[in-house]
Amino acid sequence: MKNIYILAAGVFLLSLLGPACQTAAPAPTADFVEFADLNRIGLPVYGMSCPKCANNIVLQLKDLEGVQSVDVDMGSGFVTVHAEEGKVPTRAVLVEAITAAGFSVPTKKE
Amino acid sequence: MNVRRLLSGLSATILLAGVLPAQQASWTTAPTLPSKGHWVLRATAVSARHEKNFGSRRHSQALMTQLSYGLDGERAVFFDLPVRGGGRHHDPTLGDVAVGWKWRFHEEDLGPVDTVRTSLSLGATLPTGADRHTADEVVPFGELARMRITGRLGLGSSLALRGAGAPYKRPLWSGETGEASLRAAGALVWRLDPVVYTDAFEAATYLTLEAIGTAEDDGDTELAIAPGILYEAPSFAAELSLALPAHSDVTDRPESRGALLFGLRFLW
Repeated sequence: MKNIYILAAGVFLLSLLGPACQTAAPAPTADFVEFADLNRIGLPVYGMSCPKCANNIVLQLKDLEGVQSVDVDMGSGFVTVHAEEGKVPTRAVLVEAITAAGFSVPTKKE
Repeated sequence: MNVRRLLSGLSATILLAGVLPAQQASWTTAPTLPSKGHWVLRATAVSARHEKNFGSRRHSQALMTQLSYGLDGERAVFFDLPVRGGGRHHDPTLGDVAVGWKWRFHEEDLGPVDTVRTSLSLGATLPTGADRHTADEVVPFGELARMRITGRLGLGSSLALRGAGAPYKRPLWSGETGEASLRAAGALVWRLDPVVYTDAFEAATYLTLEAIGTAEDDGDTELAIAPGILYEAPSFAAELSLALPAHSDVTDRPESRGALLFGLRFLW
């Protein structure tokens, strides 16, 4: 049984390295600055921690009717959808697709 | 099964693994999954050296392929197809295929990048393995995985429990001796580049450092430390990691003397 504690101690020591390296979370810059026009709609997305993870958003949004391309800005946490004119998905449809991709859209402040 | 011993080990490891709040490192399972209707293929080649009884050495090779399919934003199914190298005198053969279900039951997105996620995987390995690479029966397993990403740093941990089965004819790894086994892993993932994400949707490079511990019901334990590197583009990733033994106390199989892993992951 002694060895299980050696094993656990190794995992524990590794965990101690974490807080020393942590950086402050960057302040979101694009929150709630949503926009929509005839062929574009943009909204903030949270949790885009890595490029491959965030690509799930592109895959989900490109499955929507009328969507031509998707721009992901991981720096500010903003996603812009370009669609055929008059076929821009609604915000609700986008939120549903982003949720299905495993990410969240922050609640709009009133 | 010595339930008391297993539960004691489980409790101790849960307590410590809980301290760890990563992008997906090589040896530590992360609560990542493909989005609804999409696939992730991860193929890893592992070459390892084992030693028993003062110099009796063996080399092993394995090609592990995992295919995951996203059911929705929180659930996925996965299939593991291991192909085991046979050494000098045997051809590569299929190992025990695993099927499983993964549920990301906790997600807290704290900012554009920052997130905390936790998942539970349940599944079983099936006795599909040929020759020496099979437990000869269905063996259940479960795994908890958690990750926290804050800026450039990812911290991950995973805790897996595998049931008992028939012993492999020539066991090499934890879980192959027929005993129930516990595997705890912790990972630090540090984003080297880019230092700050911009509006360019580009690849990222990470340094990884992992600790992988195993404990079996008969008291065998091992701990390895694994530095590595991960390159992640939007649609694929490449990983390289070297697991170095830090502690080994095993009786029913050779000690691991190091393992080199190279892997590729594709999302579509």
